[in-house]
Amino acid sequence: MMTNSHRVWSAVVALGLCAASAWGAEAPGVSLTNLAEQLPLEDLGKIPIEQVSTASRFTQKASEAPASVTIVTSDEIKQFGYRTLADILAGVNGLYVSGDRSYSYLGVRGFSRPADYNSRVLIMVDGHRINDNIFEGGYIGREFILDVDLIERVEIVRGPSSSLYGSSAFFAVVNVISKRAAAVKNVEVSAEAGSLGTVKGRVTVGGVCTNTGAEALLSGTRYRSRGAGRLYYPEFDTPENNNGIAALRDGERADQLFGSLRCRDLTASAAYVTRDKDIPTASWGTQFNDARYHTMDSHGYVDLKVDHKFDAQTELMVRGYYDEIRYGADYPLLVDEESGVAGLNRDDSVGRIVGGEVQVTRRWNQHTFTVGGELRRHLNQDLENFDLEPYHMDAQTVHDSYDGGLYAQDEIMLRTNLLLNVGLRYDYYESCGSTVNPRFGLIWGPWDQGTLKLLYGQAFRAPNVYEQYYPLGDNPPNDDLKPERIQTYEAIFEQHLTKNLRVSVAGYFYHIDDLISLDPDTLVFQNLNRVNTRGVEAEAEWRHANGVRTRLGYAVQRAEDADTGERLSNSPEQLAKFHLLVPLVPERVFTGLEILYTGQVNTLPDRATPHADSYWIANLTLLGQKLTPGLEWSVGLYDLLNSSYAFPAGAGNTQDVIYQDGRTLRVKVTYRF
Amino acid sequence: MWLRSQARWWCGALALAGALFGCASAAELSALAEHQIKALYLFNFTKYVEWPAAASNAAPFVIGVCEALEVRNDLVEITRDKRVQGRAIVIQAVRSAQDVGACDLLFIGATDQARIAEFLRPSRNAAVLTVGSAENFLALGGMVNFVRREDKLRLEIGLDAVQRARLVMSAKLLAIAGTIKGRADPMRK
Repeated sequence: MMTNSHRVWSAVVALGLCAASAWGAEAPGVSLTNLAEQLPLEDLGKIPIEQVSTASRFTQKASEAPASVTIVTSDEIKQFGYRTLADILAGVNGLYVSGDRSYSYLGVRGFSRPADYNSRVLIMVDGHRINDNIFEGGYIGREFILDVDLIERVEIVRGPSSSLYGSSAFFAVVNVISKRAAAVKNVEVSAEAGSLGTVKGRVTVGGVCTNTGAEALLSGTRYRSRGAGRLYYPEFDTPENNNGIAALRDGERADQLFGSLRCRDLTASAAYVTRDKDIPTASWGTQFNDARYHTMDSHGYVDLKVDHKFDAQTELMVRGYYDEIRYGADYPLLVDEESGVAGLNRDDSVGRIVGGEVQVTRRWNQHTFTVGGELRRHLNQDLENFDLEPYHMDAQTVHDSYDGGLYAQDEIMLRTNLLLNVGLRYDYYESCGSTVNPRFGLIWGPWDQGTLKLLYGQAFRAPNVYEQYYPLGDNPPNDDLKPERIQTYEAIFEQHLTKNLRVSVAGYFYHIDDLISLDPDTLVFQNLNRVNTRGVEAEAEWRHANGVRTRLGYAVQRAEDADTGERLSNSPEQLAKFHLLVPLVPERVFTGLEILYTGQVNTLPDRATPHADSYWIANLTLLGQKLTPGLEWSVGLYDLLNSSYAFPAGAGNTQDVIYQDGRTLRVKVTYRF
Repeated sequence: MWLRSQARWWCGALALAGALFGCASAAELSALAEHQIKALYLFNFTKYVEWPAAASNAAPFVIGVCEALEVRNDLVEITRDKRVQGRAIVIQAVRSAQDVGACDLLFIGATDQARIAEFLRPSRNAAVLTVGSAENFLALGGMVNFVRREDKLRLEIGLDAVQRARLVMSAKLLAIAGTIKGRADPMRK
């Protein structure tokens, strides 16, 4: 059935096509001829290379991608002192990050359920899927697999990408590209120390063989944080609960390893992370201020990839991989009245995946055609919960499955200033059957330096093993769950007003069906909710001739339950991001200022505190490089204004909101031998 | 409100600091696709390299492009109605080693060593400026190589090969090269 909004959008697209065909043929985006005439030779080496490989699965200009795309580079990561992928994403227009001192949760365009494990965003490292195969969680805190120091760039593609990537590419795809050995060369040692007893060390070794062109990179990171010394939770303020003070219960330990080998067409990479987090919030009815409450996450993978160019027109990519993902948590249960002992309950899960994919990209005449297929065998999707003493198995799922997908995409240059990008993917899940998801993008350069994109897309998220097969109460789980579905309409306009000023505006409407939620009465997951999300995002970026850069982003959005009209929990109506980079000494000393505003959000329904207040966070970083050969240093002040801000708590928390750390400091020194 | 005024104060202070200290640094440029930056470089080489005088101005200046369709398309766009030392510019697709002889400037987009060597062989000792984009392009006898440094595209120049071909590079071009390999002869402008 065609709804009203469908009709409006069809009309807009048709109008766009007519107007485009009537317009003169000017190249979309930057006019190369003008640059060739005006740019002096010495400036060519200063032009940043712009490319997005995630949006269409081949390298293209961001302005030609069928999506709203943001790229965060390694330079920005240093200049703004980002410590985790969560820090990076929190600075991106339209995105927001919350947390509950256990994990970090990414919100995209107004959607982020409290304490949901980012299963509707696909996180990748060099195109390798990071979301696990039990909760479909994409982790972005210290439990993310790659040290931020090893990130070359992060590509954030907003909107649905299931037409290329299948499940979880629902609201956005975040592809993290690792650094190549040439960027490190020899040995790099980095040490950092900060507030809350935080230390981190990293050693990276890189080498390039001049004869064969082979490169190798190996890196190890160790992170330890004591965390907040005292956290006061009034909800637990009784004498037997240490008067509501969780003392030294916020520690975090993480270790990461990463290695990559490249030789000709072959890239072999391996990564591993293990993170152990103490939980101070006494969530899920555990004993307050008990040192035994912690969660452990680990993820390791090996990935072999061949990228072969047959000629300038034809490229082949073949990838094979193995992933192992573990999660565990110890829950100190409340004191047993009779024995006086707080028993320990444990979550334990292991996921193992073997997978492969093949993709061919071929350009001919006006077409860039991409076809590919992917097959994954989930050897283990096992999850159990048991009491330790006395031993009692409370819930257990032992599962294995497979899924696969086939996709095709064509980017057609209809005119020199008009691109049509059409993609379609078929997915089959052993657990929930098949689904087909299309995406259409019309990208038009109506005049010099301006781009208009009209996009329509569908995406899905397959129900995860936890939702579909894991018994939470006495009722059997619902293995009839269907995938969640989203339909999206988006229009984006980008314009370079001058050589140094770029503005962009995006407006979107999303409709989500069959959202999977836990029925609180039966403790069984159901396809319960329908959600509508609409919003506008605007961004202006100004690159001043003296190296000063300013970026201002603003998003206004509303995500509501389509049946009740109520605003969703943890969905701010306004977000603002401000970034200012000032080179104090050209190319050597930089000051980066980041100011983030997040509007008021609703907590979970039926909580005594209905809202978590809006907040401002300011982060200031001073970076020095190239002053002494090989040495780089930075000082970062986070939450400069010491805002007292909190995020809505999840269903497992007694608290309505979880307060965050205030002002913290980090000092970092990196030396390259 | 207090927070807001604090934020404003910091912005103002930083902007002022920037205006005071940041004036000397270079202009920030909008990002371009890698193939576009390569095309811009290649076009600039025609201005900063001197070729031995051509037999006749009527003969066009030929830029050969091998295995780099996008660079070729960009060059066609950039060089439209432009001239090199009075000669019209022709962009030519180079598909086999036989095509190399006609080129004045040759860009080899291939990354395969054997393939690169195959295209470099016929240009050896001829006045052809050879440009590549592969890790060991200079070692194979090429003259200018594009290398990625962070997110920028820089140059490596193999001076021996340039001099053997009786080409003269301007000091300005040599000055922007990240790496210069070969004899460090004083070069004339």
